[in-house]
Amino acid sequence: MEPYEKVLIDDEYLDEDSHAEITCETCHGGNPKAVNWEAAHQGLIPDPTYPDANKACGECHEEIVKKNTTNVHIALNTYQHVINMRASSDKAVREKIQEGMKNHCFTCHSSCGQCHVSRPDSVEGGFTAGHRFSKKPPMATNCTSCHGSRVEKEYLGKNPGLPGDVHYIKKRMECISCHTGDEMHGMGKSFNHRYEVENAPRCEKCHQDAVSSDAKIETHKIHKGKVSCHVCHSVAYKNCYNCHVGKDANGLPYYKTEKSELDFKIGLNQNPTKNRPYNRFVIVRHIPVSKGTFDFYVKDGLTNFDAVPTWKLATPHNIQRKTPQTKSCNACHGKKELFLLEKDTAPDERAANKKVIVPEDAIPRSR
Amino acid sequence: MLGKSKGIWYLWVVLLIFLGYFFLCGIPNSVQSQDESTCISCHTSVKDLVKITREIAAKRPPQKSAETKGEG
Repeated sequence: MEPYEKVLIDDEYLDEDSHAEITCETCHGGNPKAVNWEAAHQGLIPDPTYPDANKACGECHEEIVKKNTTNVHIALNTYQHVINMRASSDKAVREKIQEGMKNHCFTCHSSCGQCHVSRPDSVEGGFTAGHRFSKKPPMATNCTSCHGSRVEKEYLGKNPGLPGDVHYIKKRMECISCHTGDEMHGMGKSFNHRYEVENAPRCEKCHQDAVSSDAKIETHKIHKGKVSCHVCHSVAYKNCYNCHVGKDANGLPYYKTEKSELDFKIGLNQNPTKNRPYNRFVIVRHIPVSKGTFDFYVKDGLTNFDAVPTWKLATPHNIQRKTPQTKSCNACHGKKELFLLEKDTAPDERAANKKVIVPEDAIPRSR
Repeated sequence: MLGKSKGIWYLWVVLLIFLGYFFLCGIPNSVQSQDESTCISCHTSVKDLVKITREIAAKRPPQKSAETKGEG
């Protein structure tokens, strides 16, 4: 997008959008009577909805704004929780890590405006529709612009040689078809992990026939409660390794991830929950983290690195009705290469992954 | 006769008050003030925005580090 396009207000916004009845300065501050842009932008609030949306949105959208502070796209408490688990308990070390998180992790967030009016700042912003408010944020500009390297490529079929998700390819379902406004807006309740969010999507909400006791498909009956849907219905997905953050000579924050690979690994479900009760297998994805992620800020700050796996429960967005695993029983049973074995993990990450690594004798035997 | 013309006169007064009310309140305040707003006049003009955004880009130091590498 050209810089001017990012801030160009559409006439349709002024003529048709009820938000245009509110003057610009009511939300954005600045000086509407100034004669040049520099003076006009004095005291400007580019996003009046972040971090606190009360003033800008609360008067009309009170219920949503009230719950919104716990929205994982804004609160980012899931990042904080997992880094706290890995970090040293030393206060001074934690403060250094916190500084790193503030400079890198916490710059990637959303807000009311960054979903309903513009692209998120983390992808360089810009109005999505000339400042018109989109009740349903557009998928390409507001979802996959951030969730691009993994979700978008999986869902749209952009990973080489791999098909897109059947929900998109056949039904053209967009993100909001499953990830509803209620989920996005938060429940007024904090969660430590995104998979704990109570109103997050679940396959069985739509596919009840697959999990009912009289399911027509035998394999659904056999595997119910033991393996996640993705184990059979996903294909390879992206795994990222390492992430180091720092600041360059100009003081600008940067990150470096070392490699990403398409792979498919079944791991143990280390923590069966109400939402994901599978007592055996789930899909696991390697996430971009390493023991030295915050070394720029504090050497070896993640002293409890092994507290959380680096191969993490995943729900790849590339669902297929038929996959290599669904071909026959032995397409999975006895097929070691599909499972996350000790040899698949880096030696210095084995302790972190001990609860998800599948012991060879736990691999289902061939039939 | 007099009563009838008085009635018409009252009707005109009521009509004028009614029209006056709509004239003052029917147009949203923001639309009235937006006409005078520098924000709107500038942010709806491609020509002005191209000029200003170029001016800003020339003055602004880089916002992103060239050292960023890999997928986020």
